[in-house]
Amino acid sequence: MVNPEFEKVLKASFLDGFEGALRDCAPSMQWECKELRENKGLQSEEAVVLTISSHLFRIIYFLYFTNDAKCHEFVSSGLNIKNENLPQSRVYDYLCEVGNSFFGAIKRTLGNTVPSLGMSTPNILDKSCFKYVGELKIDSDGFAVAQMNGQPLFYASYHLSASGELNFEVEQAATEEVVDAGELEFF
Amino acid sequence: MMITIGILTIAVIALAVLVYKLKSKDEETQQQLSQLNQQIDNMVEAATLEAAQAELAQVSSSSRAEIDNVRNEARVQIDEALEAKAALENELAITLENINNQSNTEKADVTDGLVRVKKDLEDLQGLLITFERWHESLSQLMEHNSVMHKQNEEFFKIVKQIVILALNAAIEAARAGEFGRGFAVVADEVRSLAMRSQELSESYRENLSKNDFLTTSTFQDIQASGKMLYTEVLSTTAKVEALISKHG
Repeated sequence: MVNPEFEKVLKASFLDGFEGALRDCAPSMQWECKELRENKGLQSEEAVVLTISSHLFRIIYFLYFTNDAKCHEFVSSGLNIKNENLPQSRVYDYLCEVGNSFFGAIKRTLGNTVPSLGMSTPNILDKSCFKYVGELKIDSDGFAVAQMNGQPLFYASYHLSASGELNFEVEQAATEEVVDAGELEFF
Repeated sequence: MMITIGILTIAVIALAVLVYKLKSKDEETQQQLSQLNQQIDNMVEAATLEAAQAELAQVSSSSRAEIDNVRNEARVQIDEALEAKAALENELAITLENINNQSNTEKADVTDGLVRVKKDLEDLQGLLITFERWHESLSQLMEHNSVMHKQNEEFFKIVKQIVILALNAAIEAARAGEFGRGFAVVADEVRSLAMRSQELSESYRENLSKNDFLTTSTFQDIQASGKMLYTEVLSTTAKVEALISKHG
């Protein structure tokens, strides 16, 4: 259903977008994003959810987070305000912005291969909703973790649902980028 | 004898003189013959040349006539070709004019068509308003789901309280002994109903979560696809505008 070249682009754009967005938000932190074999994000409390659609497929992306002290530290650092003055609404707004930046980067990369794409606005979903992603007909998926200063802070996943054969011609440059996208470490 | 010898010597000398003279005569004759031959050769050559000249003159005259004929024929053919060319040019000019007229009409039709397509595409850009409406409706739906979640949580808490109350009622009924037997039956029924309500509430919560996910994913797909279509419409409008300015 999904050709391997396109699958590579999907995966590489997912990991690059994840790390890039977090580095942009908190450049002073040490960030490392790694691919996972299973979706560890399901353990998180909430997730920013966003969809990228084309004529032939839709991809639903999750940025999982737990609204705890570590998360607040990340948000207050990004907003440059003190942790104790951080209202809950600002936390959600900021994480939605991170999601927008993350998934927007993916959309730009995929745009080099797929002729026309559209991206939704982000929404926040509760943990109880995560398991229902299986209700969609998933043809391809991927999972990753982002570690801040060596500690896991965010998880992410993508789930592609195709309406037909996805045989996009991937430019050579894009494939080379994928090859050089860094080693994948499995947990 | 001496006389004979003398005569013979004289005769020999005379013969030698004669031979010498004859030889000289012969050489002269040979020379004259050679000259004569030369003259004859010259005469033959002159005659041949004259004949050749005559023949050449004849051939030249015939060739000239032939050349004149060919030239005349060629002139006739050139004249005919020029006439045909002029006729063809005239015909071409008329055809070109017809094509040009037809092309202008078709060009005007195409431009009109493109202007109509552009207007339709501009109308399609109103799709954004529809997407905004969907966005609002779905946001309301999500809010409504959220309210239902809260109500269900409240209901779940009440049901849990009822379960505890029913349990307490059963304990009190047991303590009342014979007098509380009827009440114990009621308490058990209430507890049983509360347990079923709890199960129902849990199932309802699951369904609400599923509903949250499906509503969000569907809404996002519609929104993303809508944005994709809008971008496509904008891009097509730009292409149509470019075509209008090229043809208009």
